[in-house]
Amino acid sequence: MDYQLCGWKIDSAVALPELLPWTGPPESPDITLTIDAIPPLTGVVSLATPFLRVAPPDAQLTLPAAGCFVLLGGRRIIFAPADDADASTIRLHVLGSVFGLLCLQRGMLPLHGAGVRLPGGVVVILGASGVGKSTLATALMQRGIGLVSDDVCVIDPASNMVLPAFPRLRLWRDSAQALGWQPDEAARVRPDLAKYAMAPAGAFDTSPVPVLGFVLLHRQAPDIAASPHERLKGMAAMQALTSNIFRRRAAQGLGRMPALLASCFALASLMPVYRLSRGDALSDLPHLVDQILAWFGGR
Amino acid sequence: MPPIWLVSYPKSGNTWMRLALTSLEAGGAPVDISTTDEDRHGVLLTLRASFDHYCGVESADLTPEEMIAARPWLHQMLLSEMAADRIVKIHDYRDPNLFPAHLAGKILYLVRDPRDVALSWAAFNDFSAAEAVAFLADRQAVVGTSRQRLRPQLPQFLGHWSDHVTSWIDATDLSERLVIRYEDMIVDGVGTLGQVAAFLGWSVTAAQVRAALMATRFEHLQQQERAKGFRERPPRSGVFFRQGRAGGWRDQLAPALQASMLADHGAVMRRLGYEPALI
Repeated sequence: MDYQLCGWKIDSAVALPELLPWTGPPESPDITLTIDAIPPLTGVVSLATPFLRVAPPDAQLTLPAAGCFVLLGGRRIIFAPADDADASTIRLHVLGSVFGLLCLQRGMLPLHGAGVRLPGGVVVILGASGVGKSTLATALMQRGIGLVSDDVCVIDPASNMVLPAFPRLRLWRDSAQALGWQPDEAARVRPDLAKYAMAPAGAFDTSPVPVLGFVLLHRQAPDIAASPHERLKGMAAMQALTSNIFRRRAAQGLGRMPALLASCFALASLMPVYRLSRGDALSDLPHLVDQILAWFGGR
Repeated sequence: MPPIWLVSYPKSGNTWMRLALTSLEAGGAPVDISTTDEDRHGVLLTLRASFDHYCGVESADLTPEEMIAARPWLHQMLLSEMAADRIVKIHDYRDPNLFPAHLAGKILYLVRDPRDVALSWAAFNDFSAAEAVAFLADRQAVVGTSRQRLRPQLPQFLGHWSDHVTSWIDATDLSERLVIRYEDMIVDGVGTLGQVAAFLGWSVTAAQVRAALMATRFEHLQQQERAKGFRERPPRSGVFFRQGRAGGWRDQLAPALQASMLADHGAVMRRLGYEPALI
């Protein structure tokens, strides 16, 4: 089955219903995902963890309840399912860790963040896992703002354009319920995690979009007198981007870090980077949404 | 030499000791509760962000069991890179696979009367005292685990309070180890903190020890928390620096719960001097 991902044509032996089907010309695919025996990595291993081995230009991911993925130069993915593999867990990792590595191999800048579409371009909400990026993106969607990416936002450094990934948002049960959404059990991203996927309503435009700016979402300890939301300058702006490069050690292992740092530097000098502070209360959300709209002129 | 391990069951004075050592290392200087946490002293091995960074995967996509399986590797990674004078904060039960002796520097084990731990744990989690007492006796007790929401820390196995204590203080493969009672820090702070400094091989004067104790007096910590908050403050309600006293259980823990704790933990409590020895 042929799908589109960031404008690439991907021919996948694993069904990936989260992705849009390929509608472009019948050209040969940019990326193939086949199910086969795992070939050995031939390059020099530059990084080895319990889950990931990098031997540039290739990489191998071994993920429990999914299987082993070998990514050859960002063009071929060979997948050997584990005995206990579960279809939703496989998809979760393909659209997460595998996708992130693929972007690095293909020379893109993947940022750990949610992309939202405002008039004039995309605002990338950056931040650590659990800080509330998806929750804030959902609150923006509830105000009519479009989603461009959920967890990994891909920027093409050659054009500084965001490449919309796929129309999916994932929320943990507590956030979903707090936003008034009763998740459907069938939408669990993994059978044993209370994290749910949903598809935003409306058409999903996959054409590249200019970057408008960045928001670093930051969680403050309860009751600390709220420090003002502020525009970051210089090194702080640069660090907001570089610390959110999706899988920095993998990027390092692939030898991509110098180029990615240069891309972050260029983006941080061209576009505004703001820091947005949130407390623990979800009642802050409308205020955070208003602040983003005020900064980026959304209405 | 690997870094120093500052180990305790939660709510046993780990934060207080960390702040006191931070002050003492600076000659008894004032401490800022908001800046020292993950800096030199109180390095955490359990942050989700470092797991993701070092392992190169999204832990948010993994189950607690899958994360736990990778912790020995992560510890090897983090501890073998760390300088010997840093202090690592640990709340886990001692499983030698997770905390092997060859990665241990000096080990400081802090212990507190479990009846006071239970009261503090109840306030921290917004539990009833009975729930906290049951938690301390739960052989499967784990913190930092949830399949419902994303927690900033990795799952940590605590187990039964008595087993937690003995897993650390009786381990025969750990050599340089000092056991300190929270109560002794209150009754004889100068002597106790001085003993800790000597154990760590720090050369400090009695005046510096007194200054460090003064800088970390409970009122000062509470005042800072009131003014600026504290990042370890419990999410639900209340404050982190709550009472900082010993023996609160005598008037705050129901007699039936006191009896239940004695039944659960009597042997270890007697060993540590929290109850008179049986003749």
